[in-house]
Amino acid sequence: MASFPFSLLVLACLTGLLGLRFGLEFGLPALGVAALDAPSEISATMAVPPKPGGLAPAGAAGNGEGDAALTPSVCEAMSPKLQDTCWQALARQTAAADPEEALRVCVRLTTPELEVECQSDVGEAVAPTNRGLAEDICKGIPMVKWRGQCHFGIGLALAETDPEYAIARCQDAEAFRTFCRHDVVGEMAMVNLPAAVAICAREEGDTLTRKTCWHGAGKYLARRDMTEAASACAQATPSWQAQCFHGVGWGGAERDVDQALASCAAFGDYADNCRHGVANQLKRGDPTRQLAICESLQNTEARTKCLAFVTQ
Amino acid sequence: MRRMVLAGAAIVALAFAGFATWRSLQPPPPPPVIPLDERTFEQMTEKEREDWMRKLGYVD
Repeated sequence: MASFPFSLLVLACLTGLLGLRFGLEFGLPALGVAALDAPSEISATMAVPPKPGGLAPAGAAGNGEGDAALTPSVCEAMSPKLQDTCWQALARQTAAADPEEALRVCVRLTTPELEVECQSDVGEAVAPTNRGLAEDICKGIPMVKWRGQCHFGIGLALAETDPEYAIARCQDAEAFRTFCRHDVVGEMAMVNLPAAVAICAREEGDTLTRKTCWHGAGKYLARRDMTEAASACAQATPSWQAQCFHGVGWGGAERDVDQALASCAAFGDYADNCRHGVANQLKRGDPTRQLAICESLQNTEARTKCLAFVTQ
Repeated sequence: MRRMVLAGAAIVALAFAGFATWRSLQPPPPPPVIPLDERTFEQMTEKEREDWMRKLGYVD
């Protein structure tokens, strides 16, 4: 009987050890190799780089054209909650004139992700004056997401002035490569349609890359004028004209849904592709109307895709 | 006393053997998912890209 307490002790220790082991297993997140083929939650939004020129240069305070000029002392005087936003704005504001100082400002941000986002902003802001430095800044960003955004930003910054260089930057935009081509071509089309048409007509990349190229031209031009956009779509590769008119519908709907639908009616064979674009644009804001438009489409392919997207 | 120690050691050994067997029979834990925007271009399937792009108005 003298051994009974000892056995109890052994059992208690074992129970404790096993309890600890299973407790840790269920209490800690599983560790392992990251999965690429598992289902992903698709973000409803994407951090498209801000359009260049959105912030006033230092010293532009009070001219009514942008934010007030910031200085380190202004940021330091702010409440801790606002300081990160202030440092980011200061870095962007400083970047073109003094990139090194802008990168030093980025270091003051409180999380590693904010710091690399700031570096991405600096890279984009430097691009119009120093492409080499801008690319070096992007290449030095360790996070794939912000490295891609940085190259995307350079592409946007130079879309209007150097189309070939701008579209080439998209190649390094990682997950945003196709988004980049769409937006760079769109920005380009607004000021230099022949360049945009020439780039899309090269039919580079996979099917999705080629489709989105024409979609971008149609969408951006439609934000200004749907008739002008439709004329541009007529220059698209025949098999992608429907894609371009979908972009026209989306871009027009961003301004005025009723007017966009009225304009779509004038687009003949592509009227339903245009309406399809309008319907897709309504998904987040007015799903009931989106469904009604989808159901009204006569073009079988557009109708099928449109209805599938309603429930996606 | 010696027998008690041996018995205890045997129980521990059995417990670890049992645990190791049980653990080897378990399926591996599901690996964490990398968000789409944190992948390289090559790490995305065309379907993933297309769905993402459609949602944001970049393709029909």
